[in-house]
Amino acid sequence: MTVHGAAHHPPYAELHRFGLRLFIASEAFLFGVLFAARFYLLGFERAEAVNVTLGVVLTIILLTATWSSHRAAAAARAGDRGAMQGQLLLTMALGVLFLALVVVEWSAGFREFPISTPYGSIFYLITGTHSLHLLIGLFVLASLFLQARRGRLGEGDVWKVEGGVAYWQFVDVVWLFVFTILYVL
Amino acid sequence: MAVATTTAPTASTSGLWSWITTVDHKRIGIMYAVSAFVFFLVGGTEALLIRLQLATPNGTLLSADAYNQLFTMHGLTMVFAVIMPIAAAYQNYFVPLQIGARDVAFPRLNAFAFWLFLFSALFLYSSFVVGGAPDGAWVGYAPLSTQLKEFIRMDYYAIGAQLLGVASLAGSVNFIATIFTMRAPGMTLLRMPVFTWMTVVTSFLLLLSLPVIGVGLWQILFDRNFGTLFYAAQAQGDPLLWQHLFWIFGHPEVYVLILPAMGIVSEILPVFSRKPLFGYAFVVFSGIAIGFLGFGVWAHHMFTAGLGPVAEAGFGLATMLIAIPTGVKIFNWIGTTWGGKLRLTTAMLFSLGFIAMFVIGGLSGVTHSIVPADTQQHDSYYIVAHFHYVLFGGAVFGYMAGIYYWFPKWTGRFLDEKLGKVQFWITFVGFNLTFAPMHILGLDGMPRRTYRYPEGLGFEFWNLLATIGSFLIALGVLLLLINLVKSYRKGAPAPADPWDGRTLEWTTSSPPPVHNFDEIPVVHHVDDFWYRKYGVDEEGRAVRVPEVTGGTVEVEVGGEDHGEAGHDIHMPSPSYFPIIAAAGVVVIGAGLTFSSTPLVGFTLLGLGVIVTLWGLMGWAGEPITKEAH
Repeated sequence: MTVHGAAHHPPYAELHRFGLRLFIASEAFLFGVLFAARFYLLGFERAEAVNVTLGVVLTIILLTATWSSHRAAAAARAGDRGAMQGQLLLTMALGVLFLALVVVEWSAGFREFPISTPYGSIFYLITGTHSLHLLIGLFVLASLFLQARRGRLGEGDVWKVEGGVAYWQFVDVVWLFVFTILYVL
Repeated sequence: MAVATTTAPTASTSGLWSWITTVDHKRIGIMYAVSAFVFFLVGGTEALLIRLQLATPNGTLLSADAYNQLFTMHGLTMVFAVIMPIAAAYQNYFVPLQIGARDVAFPRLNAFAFWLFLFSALFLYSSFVVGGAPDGAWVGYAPLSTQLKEFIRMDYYAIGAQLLGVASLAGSVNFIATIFTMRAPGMTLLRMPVFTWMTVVTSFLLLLSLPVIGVGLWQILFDRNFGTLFYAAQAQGDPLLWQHLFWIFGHPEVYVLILPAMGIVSEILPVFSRKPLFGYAFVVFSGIAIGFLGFGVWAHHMFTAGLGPVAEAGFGLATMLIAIPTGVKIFNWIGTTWGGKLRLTTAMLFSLGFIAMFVIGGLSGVTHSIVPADTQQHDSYYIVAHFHYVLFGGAVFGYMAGIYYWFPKWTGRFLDEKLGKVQFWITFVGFNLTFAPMHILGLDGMPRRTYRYPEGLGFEFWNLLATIGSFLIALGVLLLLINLVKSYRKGAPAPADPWDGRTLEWTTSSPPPVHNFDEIPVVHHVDDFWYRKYGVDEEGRAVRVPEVTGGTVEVEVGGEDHGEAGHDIHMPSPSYFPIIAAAGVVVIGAGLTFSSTPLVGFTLLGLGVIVTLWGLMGWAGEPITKEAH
């Protein structure tokens, strides 16, 4: 009649995947509200000086990073530690490149549409929030990379890589919306 | 099992360090309860000062400045540092017990949520010594909140509320994951106790509404410090955006405050009526319906903002609609007591008081859905009366009922019932004396948030009555405090099942062992424990099942020593990383609060980031349970 605790405690990965999904749902609302505020305040108005070319470059970088992060998770599942570390490193490098280009973009943008303009307020809040999330994603990937290098990630830890990658990919997907509503529309 | 496991840690179960590093949901629940009670005393003192100021016309006790700080902090405290954490206290302690789990899904995240709540609330209160507390009301309406540049008071508001929100968010993720993944075998969703169900609903409300106000609070901080224009009406910004964001959060938040209390009352009424909850499924689905509808009525707080007749009519109708599931619940509670064998314990008195007071608060709430009437009531004491009937007569009465009901489980001792009943009647009379006159004051035109009123407007008598009532409430709270201290020390010992309960928390000892259940229960019914104790005779009457008379549970407990071969019970190890991470996050928040003085701001920000990373890296690298043989 009775079942012992260990048997009914759900598997570690399943539990954490569920928790991460809840967190991402909440984060999606955060970005949804930011996007809604953009249209609420400004409609489809956009500053002429927004560097669309740079936006396209940023998008390509993050799409590549999505792919490499996917490869990292696949390598983790296949147990190929070397490939996983390589792909994590590539993903992080792309992330750092992305942030460096955001800095370039901001320093140019501050002259054209400063933060004290209606479009500037929206632009820097949304891109800033996104970059902050990307930075957190970078810390997560870096932590995974370091753990893997020290041999601390065993076979039971595939989920950790999958979870970090899932969060990273969420932030990448958010960028597609950011790009669409700030650069294209 | 991918997790490295070990036996329950038996070392370090007492002393300060054991509380700081604890990941036990029961201890975290107790810490939530104690913190919330202390803040209840603080927020109550603020209310008494407000009432003293308003006792007579042209009150001179408080300056306008002090008054603004006090009513703002009273609101923030009662919402974020009292009612939400006391609900979290019950949820932490009883949800795992009610679903037959040994633990929560994310014990360290749970500890993080508690410490973040505590540090954030203390941080908010530190504003009093640093240069004044927030003074732009708990609703923080822009552009007042973005233009009040008296020191950094409203920066404290923007960051303090943000941090408290993050704490609740972490707690919500934990509760939802716990309830959806860790129920005992046979505990299907529609066999869960109503309190657990209401925890699901409130957690989802918080998960999806906190990000909304999060964005709004960022925008306030940025408008104040970095020259953005989100709420600047003169430059394409829109103060109404803040009102929308605040109330899209704020209205679901109202249900976050009341639904757990409704859950508690739905637990207590059946026990003390000796009847199952009338229409269990209706109560559960009404709670869910309230959760959904709660996201669609926010603009009834904004009927004077000029949204236009179509929007106002729509939100008015939605507001009327939400009265239906609420009314369903009230009739179900009445149906539960109907024909029951009532035991008027203190917990039961508070539950019945809850129903009566909530009906009054609910009905005055429905009057807000009539747009023209609401325009008159807006920002008057009528509103103050309404939401105190819902939040004090409703929520607080529910949580007080919970104290009397569950104290024996927490401590193994009963609260003094005689003192409890005295407390109930004093609180009940004091409450009505305080808040009923405010309906009249409001309809007579007394506005909210004014620190004094002139003579001769007919406000004197009702204000004096309200002040007298507020001191009666204070007396009631004092009696509760005495009762708690006295009973904790030498109250009558309580058995595992002191009330002839129906849910699983009563199957384990009082207080429960660290691992909650020696044997994970298998569930076959709603109110499973009841069916284990009672069968039905030929005439359809409940009769005790003979072989489980009395504490069947103690027999099981005594018969088993956890840690024996084949009976390993795996509990997570204590960890000090959650408290470090929480401290770091609050220091980051402090850095942002001081944005206007970059040197202080950046120093704190940098320090906070380092501490947070230390906590998180340690957290991530630490095995969940250490080998500790």
